[in-house]
Amino acid sequence: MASKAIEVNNLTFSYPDTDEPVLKDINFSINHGEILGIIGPTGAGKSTLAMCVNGLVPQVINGEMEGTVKVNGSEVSGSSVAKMSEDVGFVFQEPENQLSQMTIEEEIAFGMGNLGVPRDEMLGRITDALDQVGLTGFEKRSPLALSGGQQQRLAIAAVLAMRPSIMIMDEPTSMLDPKGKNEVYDVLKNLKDYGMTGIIIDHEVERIAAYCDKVLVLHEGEVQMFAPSDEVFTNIGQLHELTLNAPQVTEFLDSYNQAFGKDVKLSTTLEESVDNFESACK
Amino acid sequence: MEPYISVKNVSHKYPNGVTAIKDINLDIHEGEVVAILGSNGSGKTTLVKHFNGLLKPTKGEITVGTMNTKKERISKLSSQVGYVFQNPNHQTFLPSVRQELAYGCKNLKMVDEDIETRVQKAIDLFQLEDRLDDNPFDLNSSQRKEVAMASIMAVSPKVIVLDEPTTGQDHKGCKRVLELVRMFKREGHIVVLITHDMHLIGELNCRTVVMNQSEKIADDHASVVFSNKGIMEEAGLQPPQITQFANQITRFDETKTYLTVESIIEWMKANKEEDVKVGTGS
Amino acid sequence: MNSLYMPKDSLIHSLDPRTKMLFVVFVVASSFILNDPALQLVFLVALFPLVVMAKVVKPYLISIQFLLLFAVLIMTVHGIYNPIGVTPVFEIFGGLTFKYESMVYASVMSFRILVIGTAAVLFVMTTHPSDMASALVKWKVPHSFAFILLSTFQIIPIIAREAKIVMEAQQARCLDVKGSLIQRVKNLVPMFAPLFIITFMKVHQLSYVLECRAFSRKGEKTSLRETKIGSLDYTFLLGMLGVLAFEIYLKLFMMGSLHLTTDALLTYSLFGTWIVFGFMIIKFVVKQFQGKIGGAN
Repeated sequence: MASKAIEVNNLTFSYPDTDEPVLKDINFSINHGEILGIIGPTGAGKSTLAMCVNGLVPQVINGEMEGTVKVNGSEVSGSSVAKMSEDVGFVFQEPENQLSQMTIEEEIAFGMGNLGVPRDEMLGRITDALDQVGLTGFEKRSPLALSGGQQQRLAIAAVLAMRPSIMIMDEPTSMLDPKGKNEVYDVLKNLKDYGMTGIIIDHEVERIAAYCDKVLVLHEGEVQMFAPSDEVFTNIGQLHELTLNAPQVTEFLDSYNQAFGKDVKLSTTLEESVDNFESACK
Repeated sequence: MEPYISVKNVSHKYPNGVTAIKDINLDIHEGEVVAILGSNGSGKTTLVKHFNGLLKPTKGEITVGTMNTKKERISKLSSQVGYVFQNPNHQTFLPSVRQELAYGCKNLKMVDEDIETRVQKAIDLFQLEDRLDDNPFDLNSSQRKEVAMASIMAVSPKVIVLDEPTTGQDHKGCKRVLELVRMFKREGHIVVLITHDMHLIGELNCRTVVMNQSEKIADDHASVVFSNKGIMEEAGLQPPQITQFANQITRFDETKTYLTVESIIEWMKANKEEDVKVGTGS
Repeated sequence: MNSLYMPKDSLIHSLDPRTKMLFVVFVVASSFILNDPALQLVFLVALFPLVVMAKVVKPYLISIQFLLLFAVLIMTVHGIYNPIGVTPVFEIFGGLTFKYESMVYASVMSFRILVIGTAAVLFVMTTHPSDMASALVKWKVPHSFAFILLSTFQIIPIIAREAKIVMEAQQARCLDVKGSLIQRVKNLVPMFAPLFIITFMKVHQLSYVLECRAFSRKGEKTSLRETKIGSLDYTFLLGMLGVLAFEIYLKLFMMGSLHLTTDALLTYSLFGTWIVFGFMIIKFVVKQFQGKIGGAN
C-alpha cells in the first residue's frame, strides 16, 4: 500500500475541436480510503478529469493528453478502459442510461460476466451488492420499474459487484428527488465505512462537505484549491470569486462574523456550526 | 379577486387504473409564485400538466382565465400557460436561437409583425442579442435551458411553469434561475415551479404546495410549511440547511422560520441590542 | 412488458433456447416440404397442442390475428386473380371465379405464413431474451451482436416513453397535433428531431457505461443465466427428427397416391378465414363505437 490510490501529474487535455485545453496542468493525489469531492462551475472540466482516471479519456473520448494518471501505482494509459474497470468503477449522472439488462440480477451480473467471474461466485456477489445498496429481494424485477434513486443504487451495485478499489461518481444524485438523493448518499456513507476510495462530483456543497475528506476546486480547467474539505469551504472569499458557494451554515457564520465584527470559528457541518455559534454567544 | 387558475375537486386516473392525483383544490391568483414540492411519483407533474390541458381531469374541473381546460385545445391553453420542460432537449430542436424564439408564435399563426415584437421582447428580457444565430446544441446545458425558457416566454403566456429549473445547475445557474423567476413576477406573470430545490424555495420565500401520494398535504407560505415537521417528514423533505441550523439556535426567535442566510443576518441587525446583550453573556 | 416474453412455468419454457431455435428452423423446413394445403393444415393443427402446453393460448391467438389478415388477403386476391388458375371451383357475385390451382397456391402460402408465425410466436413468447442472447453466444455469434439484439428489447419501451414526452413538450409550444393531414406530416419534424437526438444521446451514454463495465474486454465471458441442453431437449430434438423423416417419406413416396386436397377443403378454409376475419372486424367496430360513446360523456 505504499503507492497512492490515485496520482495525477501535470495532466493537460484538449478536445480535438477546441483550441484551449479543458484541463490545464492538473496535479493531485489521493490516498487509499479517502473520498475526494470535485466541485466547480459547469464547464470547468470536472467530468473530463474524472474520466481520465479510468481511461475513458482519452481512449474512448479522444483528444490530446499530456502528463500521467496513475491508479494504484500503475499508469492508466498502459491498460484499456475494460481492464481498468477491475480497479475503477464509474457511476454516471443519468440512472436510466446505465441500464441494459432485463432484470436487476442480470444488470448486476453483466459487468462480472464481462470479467469472466464464475457463475457460483456471481450469485454470492449479487447478494452482497444488493445488500450493500439496500435492494435485497429485488433480484427478479425489471430495472425500468424502479424509482430514480433505486436505479442509481442499482448502478452502484452493478459497479460494486465488479469489486473495484476506487469508485468515481459523476453527479450521481443530480437527477434525483430528495428521497433518492438521501438513499444514494446513505449508500456512499457505507462505502466510506468499508474503506472504499472515491471521487464524487456534485454541486451540492452541503453534501460534499459532510461526506468528503478532501475537496478539489476546478475552474476553467485549473485546480484552484485542493485541500481537506474544511479548509476549502471555510475559504469563502475565494469560493465566491469562483462563483461557487460554501455550505449555508458556513456562509452564515462568515456573514455573521463580518456583520458584527465577531470571530466565531467557521465550520462546514450543521452540528458543529450549531455548537460553535451557541458557545461563542454564551 | 377571482383566481386565474382554479382547480376544483380534480382527480386524474390514468388509463392503466392508477390514480395520480386525488381531489385537488387549488386557486392561483395573479402575481403569485407557487412552488410545488413532493417526491417523484407524488402527482405534482400530473397536477401541473392539467394547467395547459396536456391532461384533462377525469373528475372535477379546471379553469384557466375564462377557459375550461376540458373544452379548449392544448395549443390555445399553452398560449396562456407556458410550460418549460425539465429537459430542454425535449423542446428545442431548431438550428438557431432566433428560430426557437419564433417557433411558438408561428404555431399560433400570428402575423409577422406580431411575432417580431414578441421575439424582440424575449430577446431583451433574456439578453440574447449575441446568441441569436447560435445553434442551441452548441450552448452549454444551462444556456440551453434558458433558451427553452425564452422560447416559451416569447409567446407571452400569463402563467409560466418551470419543471425542475435548477436540476443539474451549478451555483451560478441556480442564482440565474432565481433572478429569472423574480423577473417573471415583476413582468406580471404567475410562476409555477415544480422543484426539489429547497434552497430555491427558501430564497423565493413563496407559497408552497406539497404533494404526497396523489394528495395535496400542505398549501401555505414556505416558512410555515418548512416549520411543519410532520408534513416535511411525510413528504420525505428536509428544509434548507440554514433553516435546520436556525431551529437549533436557542437565541433566535422561535416563532420565526428563517429560510435564508441573509434573512437571519437582517433580523439580527434589526435586533442588535438583544444581540449585544446575549453576546456579553447572561 | 419489455418484450413479448411470457414468463410461465411450462415444458416449452424450460427447453433450451437453442432447441427452440432449431424447432423454428424445423417448422420452416417442414412448411416447404409439405407444400400441400391439407398437410399444412394438419401440421398447423398439430402445432396447437404445443401452444397449449406453453400456456400462451390467449396471447398467441391475439398475435396470430395479424397474420390471419395476410392469409385472408392472399387467399382472396390470389384465388381470384392469380393467372395460374384454370379450373373454376365456385363463383361469387360479379362473375369473380375462384380457381382450383390458384386456391391451392394461395392456401399453401397462407398456411405457411400461419405455421411459421405460430412457431415464431411460440419461440418469442417462451424464450427469455437474455437466454436467447446467451444461447446465440454459445453458438459463437459475436457478443456485441447478441447484446444489440437484447438491448433493442430494453430500449423500445424507453423510446416509446420519450416519444410521449416529446409530444407533450411540443404541444406545450403551441403545436397543434390534431390538425389536417398536411399539418400532421409537418409535425413529424418537431416530433422526430428531438426524439432522434435524445435516443442518440442515450445510446452514446450507454456506450460509455458499457466500456466501464468491461464490455470490450477480451477473453472468456460468463453468464448468470444457465442454458443447458438436457434430456427433455434431446427428446424434443428426436421427435422433430422423426417427424422430419416422416415428412420426407410422405413427400417422396406417398404424394402420388394421396389426394387430401379437395375443392371442399379449399372452399372451407377460405370461408373459415373470412368468418374469423369478419368477427375481428365486428369486434373492432364495436370497440370503436364504445370508445365514441365513452368519450362523449
